[in-house]
Amino acid sequence: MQDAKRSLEEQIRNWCKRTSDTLDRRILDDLGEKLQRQEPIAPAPMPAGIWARIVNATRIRLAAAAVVALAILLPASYAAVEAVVNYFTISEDHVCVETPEPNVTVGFAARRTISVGGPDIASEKEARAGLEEFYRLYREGKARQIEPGLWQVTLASGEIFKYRGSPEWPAPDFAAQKAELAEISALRSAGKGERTFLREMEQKGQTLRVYQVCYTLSSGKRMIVTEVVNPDGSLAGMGAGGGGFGGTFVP
Amino acid sequence: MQTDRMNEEQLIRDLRSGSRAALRLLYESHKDRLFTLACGLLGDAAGAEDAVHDVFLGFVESLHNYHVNGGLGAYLAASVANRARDRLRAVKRHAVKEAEIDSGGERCEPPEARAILQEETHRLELALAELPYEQREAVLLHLQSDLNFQKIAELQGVSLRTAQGRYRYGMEKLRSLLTSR
Repeated sequence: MQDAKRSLEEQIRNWCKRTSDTLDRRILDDLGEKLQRQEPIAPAPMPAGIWARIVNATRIRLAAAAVVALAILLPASYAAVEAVVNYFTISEDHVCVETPEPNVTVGFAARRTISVGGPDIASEKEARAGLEEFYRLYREGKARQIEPGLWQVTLASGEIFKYRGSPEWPAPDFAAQKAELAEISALRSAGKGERTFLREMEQKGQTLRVYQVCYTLSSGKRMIVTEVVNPDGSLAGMGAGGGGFGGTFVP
Repeated sequence: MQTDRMNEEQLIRDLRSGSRAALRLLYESHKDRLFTLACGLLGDAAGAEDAVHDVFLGFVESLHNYHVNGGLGAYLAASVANRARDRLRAVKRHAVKEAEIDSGGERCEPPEARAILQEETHRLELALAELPYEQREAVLLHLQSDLNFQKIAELQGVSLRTAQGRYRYGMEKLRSLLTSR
C-alpha cells in the first residue's frame, strides 16, 4: 500500500509537459524586450537623516523617489563574459529646492541606490572611486551610450566601467507638487483621507499625535502623508515621503 | 539551502543588471515545471501557455520588489496558481476538459516503453482533471512545485488542516480513479 502511494506520488512528481519551441521563442522575446525597457526606478521612503536636516532648516515641501541604477566595472579585456563577483551598494542623495513665494519653500529630495561590482573591486571605497570617476567623465561628455540606458567609459586605470540606468537625476515638477498639495488640503478640509495613528510625540511640553494619512487625488494617484496634529486637533505640520511628492511642513 | 539562496541572489542581481543570459537561465530552469503545473490546473495547453507567459513577464516587471529568500521556484509556482484561478474565474469554466496527451519530449525509450509512458501520463491527466479544483491544486502544488502545506493553505486562503485534507482526499480519489480505469 505504501509502495502504491509512493508510486503515485512519484508519478505525479515526474509528470512533465515540455513547452514548445514556439512558446519559448515568444516568451524569451517578450522577456528580453521587457528587461530592456525596464526603468530601474523604485520609490523608497524618505530617509530620516535628510528629512530631519531639511525640516530643521526651513519650511519645506519634500518629495522622495529612489532611482536604482547599476554600475559594472569590468577589466579592459572584457569580451563576452560577464564575470562580476563583488557588489557594493552605494546610496546617493540629491536635493533641490525652490522658494515659489515668501515663506514657502518647496524641496525635492531623492535617494538613489547603485550597485557597483567588478572582479577587481575589493572595497566600497574602490567602488565609490570608480563611480565618481564615471560621473566626472560623464559630465565631461566622455561617456558613450552603447544602448538605451547603458553607458560606458574607460577609467584612467584602463578598466571599462559600465553604468546601467540614468546618470541624471529626475527633474522635479514643482508646479505639479503645488497643485497636488492644494488638492490634499481640500481633501483634508472635507475630511476625506484614510487615517492611521502612528505614535505620539512631545514638543514644547505638548503631546502631538502623528498620523499617516492616505489621500486619493482626482488623478487617481494615492498620496501618503504624515500629519502631526495639535492637542486641539489642528494641523501642526505635514510631510511625506515616497511616490514622488511631499507636503508642507509648518513647524 | 544556502547554496540555493546564493545562486538565487546572483541570478536576481544579474537579472536586475539586464543580463540576457540570466533571463534565459531563469526561463529554462522553471518553464517546464510551471507549464506542467498550469496544464494540470487548467486542463488546457493554450491557457497554460498564456499563464506561464504572464507569470514570467510579471516577475520581470516586479524584479525590484522581489526579495531573495531561496524560494524562487515556489514563488513562481504560486504565481501560476493565482493566474490559473483568475483565468478560470474569468471564463467561468465549470466543465473539466480532457487533458491533452504530451506527444513531445526527448526521451529515448524504445517505442513500446514510450507508448506505455504516454498512456500512463494520459490516464494521470484524465484523473487529475476529474478532481475538484482545490484538491487538484493542492496535489499539484505539493508534488510538482514542492510547496509545503502551510504555503498552500495561505495561497488557498484556508487553514493548514483544510489544505492537508484537500491533498489527502485528492490523492485518495486519484488512486481510486487510476485503479478503476
